[in-house]
Amino acid sequence: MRLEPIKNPTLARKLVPPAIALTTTIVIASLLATVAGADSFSVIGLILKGAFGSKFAILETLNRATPLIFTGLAVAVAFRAKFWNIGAEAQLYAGALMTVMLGTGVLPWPSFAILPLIIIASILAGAIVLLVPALLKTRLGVDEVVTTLLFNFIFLLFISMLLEGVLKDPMGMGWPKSARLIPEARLPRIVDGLRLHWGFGLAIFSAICIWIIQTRSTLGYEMRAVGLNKDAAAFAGIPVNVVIVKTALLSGGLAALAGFSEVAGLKGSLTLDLSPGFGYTGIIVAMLALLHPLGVIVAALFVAGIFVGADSMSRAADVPTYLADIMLATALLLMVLAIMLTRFRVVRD
Amino acid sequence: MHRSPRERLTALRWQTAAGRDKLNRIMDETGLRAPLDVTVGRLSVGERQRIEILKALYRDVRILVLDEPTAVCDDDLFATLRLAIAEGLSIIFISHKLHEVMAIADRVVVLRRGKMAGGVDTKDTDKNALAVMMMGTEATPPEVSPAKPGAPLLALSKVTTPDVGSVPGLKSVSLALKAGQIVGLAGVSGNGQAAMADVVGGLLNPNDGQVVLGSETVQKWTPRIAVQSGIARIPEDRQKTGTIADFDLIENAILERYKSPAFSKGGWMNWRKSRAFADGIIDKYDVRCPGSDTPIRLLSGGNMQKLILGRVLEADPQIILANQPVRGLDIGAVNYVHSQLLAARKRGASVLLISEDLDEIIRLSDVIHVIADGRLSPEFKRGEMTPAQLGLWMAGQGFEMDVAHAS
Repeated sequence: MRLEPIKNPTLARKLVPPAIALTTTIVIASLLATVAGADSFSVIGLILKGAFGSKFAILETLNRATPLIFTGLAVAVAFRAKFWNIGAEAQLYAGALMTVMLGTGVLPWPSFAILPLIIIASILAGAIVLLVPALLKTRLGVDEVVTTLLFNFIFLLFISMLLEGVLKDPMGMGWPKSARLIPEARLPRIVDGLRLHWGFGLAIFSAICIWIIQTRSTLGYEMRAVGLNKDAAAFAGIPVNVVIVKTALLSGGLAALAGFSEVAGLKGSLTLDLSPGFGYTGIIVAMLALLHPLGVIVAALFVAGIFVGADSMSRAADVPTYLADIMLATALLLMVLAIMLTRFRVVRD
Repeated sequence: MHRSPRERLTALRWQTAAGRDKLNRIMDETGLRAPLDVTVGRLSVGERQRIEILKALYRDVRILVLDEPTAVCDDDLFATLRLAIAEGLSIIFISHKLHEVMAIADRVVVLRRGKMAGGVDTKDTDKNALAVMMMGTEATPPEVSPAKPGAPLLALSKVTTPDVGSVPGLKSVSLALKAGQIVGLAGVSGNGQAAMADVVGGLLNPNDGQVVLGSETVQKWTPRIAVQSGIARIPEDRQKTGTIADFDLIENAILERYKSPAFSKGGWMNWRKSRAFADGIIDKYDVRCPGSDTPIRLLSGGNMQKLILGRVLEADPQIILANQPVRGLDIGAVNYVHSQLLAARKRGASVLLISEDLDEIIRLSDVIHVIADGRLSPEFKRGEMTPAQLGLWMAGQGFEMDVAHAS
C-alpha cells in the first residue's frame, strides 16, 4: 500500500474523512463511557451540551480557545518557515511573567497606557525567549527542537523559583503565587457580566493580522519561501537566517500573548499551573489547521470544545475525567489521519 | 531471482564483504567507478547516476531502462553499456540527445506528445531525420554570427575559493566577461564549475582575489547585490535552487526581485503587478501552463526553464550566467534557450556559459576556457581548438606547461 497525492480534491473528499473521524471519535468515547458505567447515547449529548449547550458553556469554550489560538498561531507561523518551535510553553510563561511584573502596580503610568505597555512588553519577552534558540540555530547550527523543548523546563523552574522568592505574594498565605494585578492591568470583559474577556478579541485580531502578513507582506513571502525551499530562497537572495530570526521573534511574541491573556483576562495572578500544556496543545492546533492562521481559530475552538465538553460530560455522567483526555487524544489522532486522507488516497499495490 | 548476501535483511550483521567484492568486480569489468564508502548525499550528480547504474548491474538485471542517463554522465557510460549489451543485456535508452541515441541504439522509437511518431533502425536513419520525426518539422539550431566584443563587464582577478569536500574550489582564477561575447566554460563535472557559478552569482565570496564589476572592485557580494548589478543567473538545478516547487508561477517569477519597487512597497507585496509580470513572461516566452497561479512543480522542465529565462532576461541584464541552461531539455527547448542567449549577446550582454556538453560550448562560445581541478586554461578563440584538444585540457593536461610558460 502506498499514498498517492490527489491533485484536485473534490468537496466530498475534503469533507467526508473529517466527518468520519468525528463520528468515530464519538463512538469510541461512547463505548468507553459505557464501559465506565454511563449510558452511551447520553454521552454524545452531554459532550455537545457541555461544550456548546448553554451561554455559559459557549463562553467557557471560547475562553479555553483563547490561549490555544495564540499558541497555535505561534506554532503555525514558525512551522511555516520550518522553524520548529516546540517551546511555546516557555514563551507563554515569559508573557505571563512580564504581565505580573508590570501589572501589579509598580508603574507610575496613567491607567490607559498600562495595558498597551504590558502587551508590548509581553510580546518582547516571548520574542527574546525564542531569540536565543533562533540565534543558536542560525549561528551555530544547534537544533531548535532540542533547545526550545528544553527551554520549557528551564523556564518553568525559573518561574517556580521566582514564585517561591521575589514574586511571592506577601498576602498569599504561603502559596507559590504572585500578587494580583491591579484593576487597570486587567483585560476588560467583552460584555459586562459574562466571563469572556477581550483576550479572545485580541486572539482573533492576531490571527487576521498573521493571515494578512503571510499573504500580503514581503516578510510573509520570505517566510513561506524559506519554509518551502531554503536552497532556492538563498539562491534568489533571500537572507535565510535573518528571516528565521524574524520568524522566531514573531512566533515567540504570539505565544507570550497567550500568557498575557490568561493572566490579565482570566486568572489575575501567576501560578505554576497557569497553563495545562497550552504550548504543546498549540502544536496540535496548528497541525490541525494545516498551519493556516484562520484555520487556527477553527482548530482551537474544536480542541477547546472537546476539552470543555468532555470535561463537563465526565462530571455529569459520573465517569472518570480521564475520559476527556482519551477523547481528545482519539479525536486528534483521527483528525490528523483524516486530514491526510483529504489530500492523499491509499492505493493498493 | 538471484539473491546477493547483502539483501539478507534479517541478518544481525551487515554482510558487506561479498557485496563489496561483487561491486568491485563489476566496477573493474565496466570501468564505471564510484566511491563505496561515502554517503550518497555528498556525491556529485554524475557519481550518483553511476551508482544507480551500478545498483542495477549489481542486481543482475536483464532489462535496463535508462531515463536521460547522460544528462550528467561522461562517455565511459557508453563503453560500459556496449559491454553490457554484448553480454546479453537489453537496454531501453530514453534520451533527448540525438547523437547519443545514434551512438548507442540499434533501433529508435520516437514519441511526440504521447504518441508514437515512428520507429526506425539506427543504421537506416540519421540525426536530421530523427529531428524531423521528433519536431514534426525540421529543427534548425540558431545561427551564430561573429561576435563584436566590447569592454569587460565583470572580471575575476586571481580568485581563490575553498574546496568543498572532494570538489575543488577555484585556484587563482582570472577571467574577463566582455560585452557582446559568449564565454564558454568547458570541463568535466565537479572541477570547480560550481564555485565559479557561485562566485559570479553572488553566493560565494572569494577567499582571495577580487571580483571587479565594470571598473569597481566589489566589497560586499550577495545574490541580491549581484541581481541588482545586472547579473542574470540561470541556475544549474532548476528544481532545487532555481524554483520553489510549491510556489505558483507568479511567486517564482518574482523570486529574485520581490523587494524591488516594481513588486513591493514598504514591506507589502503588490500581487497585481507581480501577476502581470508573470503573465507577461508566460506570453512572451511561451511558457505552456494552465495559468500563472499553477504550482510550478506541475510544469515540464522546458517550461520551468522558460519561466526562469523570462524572470532573468526581463530585467535587461548586462551579464548572464547560464549554468547548464539546457540540461534535460528537448531539442525544441534547447534551440529556444540558445537563441535567447544569442539574442542577449547581440544586444551587448556578456554571457558565461557553463556546460558539460562540449558540442554546446563549441557551437555557442566566442571564447572558451577549460576548467580542470579548479584551474582555468588560457582563453581559446572560436575554432582555435578541436574537441579532442579541448578534451586533453579537460583531462588536466596543458596546465603545467602553461604555468611554466607564464613564469
